[in-house]
Amino acid sequence: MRSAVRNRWIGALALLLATGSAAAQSAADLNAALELERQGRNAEAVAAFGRVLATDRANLTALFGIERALQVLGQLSRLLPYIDSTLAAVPDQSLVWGMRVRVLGELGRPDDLASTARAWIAAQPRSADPYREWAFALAQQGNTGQARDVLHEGQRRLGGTALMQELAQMDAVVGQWTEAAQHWRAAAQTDTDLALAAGLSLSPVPEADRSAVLRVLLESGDPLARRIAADALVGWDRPGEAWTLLDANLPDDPAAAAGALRRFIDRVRLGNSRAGARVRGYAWERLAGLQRGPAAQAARVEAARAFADAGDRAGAERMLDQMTQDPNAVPATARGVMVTLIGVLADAGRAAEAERRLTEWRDRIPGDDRAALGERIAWAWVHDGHLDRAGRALGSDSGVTTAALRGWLALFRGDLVGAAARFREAGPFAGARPDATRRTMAVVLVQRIGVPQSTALGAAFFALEREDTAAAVGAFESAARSLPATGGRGDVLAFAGQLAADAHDGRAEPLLTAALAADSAGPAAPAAEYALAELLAGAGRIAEALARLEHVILAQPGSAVIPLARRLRDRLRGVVPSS
Amino acid sequence: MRRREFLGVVAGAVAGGSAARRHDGTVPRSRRSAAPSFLIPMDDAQTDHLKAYGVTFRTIKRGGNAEWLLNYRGGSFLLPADPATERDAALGGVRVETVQGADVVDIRGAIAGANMDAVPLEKAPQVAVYVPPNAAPWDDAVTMVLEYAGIEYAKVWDPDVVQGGLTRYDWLHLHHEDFTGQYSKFYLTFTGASWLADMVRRNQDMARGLGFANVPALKQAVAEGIRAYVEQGGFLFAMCSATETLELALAADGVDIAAPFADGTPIDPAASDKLRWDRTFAFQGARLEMSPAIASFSDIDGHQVNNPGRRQPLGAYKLFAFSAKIDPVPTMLVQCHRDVLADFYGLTTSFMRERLKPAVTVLADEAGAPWVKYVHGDAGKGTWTYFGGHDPEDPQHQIGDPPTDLSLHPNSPGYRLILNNVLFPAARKRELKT
Repeated sequence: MRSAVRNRWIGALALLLATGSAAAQSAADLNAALELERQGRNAEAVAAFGRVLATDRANLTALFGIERALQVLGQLSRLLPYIDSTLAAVPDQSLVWGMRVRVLGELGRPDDLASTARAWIAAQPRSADPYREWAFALAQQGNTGQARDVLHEGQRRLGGTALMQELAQMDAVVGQWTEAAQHWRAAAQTDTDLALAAGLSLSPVPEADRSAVLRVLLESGDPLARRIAADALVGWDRPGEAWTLLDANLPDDPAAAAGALRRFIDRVRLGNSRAGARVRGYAWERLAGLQRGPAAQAARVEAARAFADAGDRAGAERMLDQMTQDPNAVPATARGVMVTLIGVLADAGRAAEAERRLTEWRDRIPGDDRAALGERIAWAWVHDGHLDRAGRALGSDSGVTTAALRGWLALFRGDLVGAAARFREAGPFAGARPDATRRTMAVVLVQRIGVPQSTALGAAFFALEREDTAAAVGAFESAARSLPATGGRGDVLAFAGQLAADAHDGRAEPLLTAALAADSAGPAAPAAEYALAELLAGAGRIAEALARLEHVILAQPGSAVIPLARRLRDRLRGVVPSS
Repeated sequence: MRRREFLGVVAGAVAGGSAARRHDGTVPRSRRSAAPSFLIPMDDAQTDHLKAYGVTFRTIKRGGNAEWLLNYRGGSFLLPADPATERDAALGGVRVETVQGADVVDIRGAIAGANMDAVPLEKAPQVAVYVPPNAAPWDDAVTMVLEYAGIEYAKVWDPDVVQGGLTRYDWLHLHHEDFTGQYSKFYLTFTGASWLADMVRRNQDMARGLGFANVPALKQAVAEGIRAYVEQGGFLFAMCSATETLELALAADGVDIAAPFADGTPIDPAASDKLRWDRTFAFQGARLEMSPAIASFSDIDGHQVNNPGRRQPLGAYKLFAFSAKIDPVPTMLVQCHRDVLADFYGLTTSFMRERLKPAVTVLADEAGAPWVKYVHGDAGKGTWTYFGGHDPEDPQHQIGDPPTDLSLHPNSPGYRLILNNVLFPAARKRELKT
């Protein structure tokens, strides 16, 4: 008896050891198979994964590995026996059912696909997975109609909002936009996070279908559906309507409302329009009202920036005023806000008010900021026609950007020699790149003119600075008439002609032609001839434009405009795309 | 002149001395004269490599004697110094250098003593591009560069091929056409897209109009027409998916390789095993991509750009150096001012080495990779050249991308390879009679 008991113990121990040994072997085989797959030895990997499945039919890692390897080998049909074996071991495993459906879809066996999906539905009658995978496999084969039928069947059987999201997506794929809107509206009822996906999905709705989609989303009066509509309107580049709709339908819960506002801001940020920037400002302003302390201040700063981007200076000032009046604002923040506010005022042309605020805060604003604000105020005075006050606003600052501004003031007064000296003092890099380019252009023109003083030319540059191009063109033309033929007349006429061309002014062609007649070999001639060719091309006079381009290319091969001329010639001849 | 005669002439020139000669042993006029010539350098001194081919092409077309100086300063051209050429080059921004008789002697000396050669270019080839009649030139690298360089070409499509119209042309280009008739297998992915609907309608109308049961049947007949053109002495140049699908269409002699959406019947499950590789130019033993939802045709392509599980990253490919005096044809095809070039995707990007037939000449490959980029070979009396990828200056090209503006890439080495192919048939004496 004792011997029998001992033998049973030994047998049990041996079985345990054998089982442990089998598990260890299976893990080693799996690692070897994965390594073979990593090395791209897919045929060997298939065999190795197969050995794992032979001892452990439920090993999903091995099953997925064999699927990957067979996919690479283009032998997916060999996978089915492995799937069936695993399915027999773990009949409730959705992943394996899903794999069978997917594989049959890829193999183009619709009847087997349908019978497998039906068997899966029978095994898991309350699951949406079989319908979803079946429909996806059908859609992959281009059978979107059948795919929608499957989803509808699943929806009917499961009820509620099951498969509504999938139906919405499938509707969108086939362009059934009103149905897509209905299904998104339903899907979002149980998962509010889907609202954003819904809005994005409805963004590509064609113009002709948009009214119907909006009707679907607005008719129920449901705030969530209306927020989806707002999102769709953003996608249709109608930010103003979108904001109105969202603002009226924000959630009552402040945290949820803040979330909706942030999502809206992110969506609107993708567009670059002024209208988009304005509603972004409104949304930040509303968000600031929902928050306290630094978060509210940060939101107001963002609102001010957005309003400034939109050209809505009143909105920007409103935000900044609120911030400066905040008794809890920390001094550094208040100083930064004031710098921004004075800059906004100056840029808005309210030079006197900006100057008053700068005087009040002068001691609390660092020197560099003070100088920069002084220049902005000076430009505001220039644009207001007060050159003397502009000069005073600069004070005694000796920076390079101030020197540049003094150069402009001299030029506007007609002091060509003084302007050239100040511009040289400023150097080529002062200020932003466009400013430097504009200054260089002015220096080049002034240096070609053979007189030290020209009030007419100064007036022309002043008109240009004040963005009165029509007056500037006339003034440059008048100034040119007073210059000697070889003392810059052709250059100034060419400049006037290019200005007129940029402004689509009818005087461009006679001015450019006159410039070329005045000095056909001068330094401005190639640019003038190129500008004339552009003008002719724009008017559809292609043969004349081509003749001008060929002339300038052959006559002035060393000019900087020649690459542009060759490119325009290529475009006019249709040998490169016009975009 | 047939291709073999052309090779004989070139070989004769090599055997006869350092300078290229006519088949009667005389030297072209431009090189006998003491008059100055224009050297169009094709190394880094060149300002517009692409238009340089156009200037050379038009010189030949005007009856001028040009020479292609293989491996000399990047594969330069020597042209007669006439006012028309000077004007043409100046307008195009092409750098030319005036060389006197003594300079030309020095050049010939350099050519004689190195792996270089001079090949006369005497007859501007008649160029045809296989493209739908209403297609804009901006989605096809070859038409783009032909337009940019100013090289004249005709458009041909299915009726021209099926009705034997190719015999009028020396050189035929195919780009991203799908000769399996499956609309580049975009049918499922881009369902509803207007351009796809237009492509499907146009092809179906054409198939019906020409009496074919479906589009795959039409395209197979077109592929056969192209094969006949090459075998009778034509020069074929193909890029992107045209390379792979032309071969598959030729191999699928009576085998259904088209998905149901294209011909209404399923692909023959054993299609890969039934393909006849004795009917193809370049490839053998390929396996078809059976899924209609994957925009890939077979395992010929190494990069599988639209096959998520198998897509390979882009690297760089290197042009082979051939002996100019012994192998003038491949030498012409690889003339370039760069020998390593950035790779670029296409529906077919590259060709797996293991799928190449033994007689194929590899012109460029990626070191260490199992694929090659640029291949060439003979078929009957003609030649074919395949270049993988869609647009050398748009490596990740996607449908809907803006067109490439070649005035921004005047020195593109990849586009030069295309133009080598265009000019290569000019290195002949008489018009092709097929």
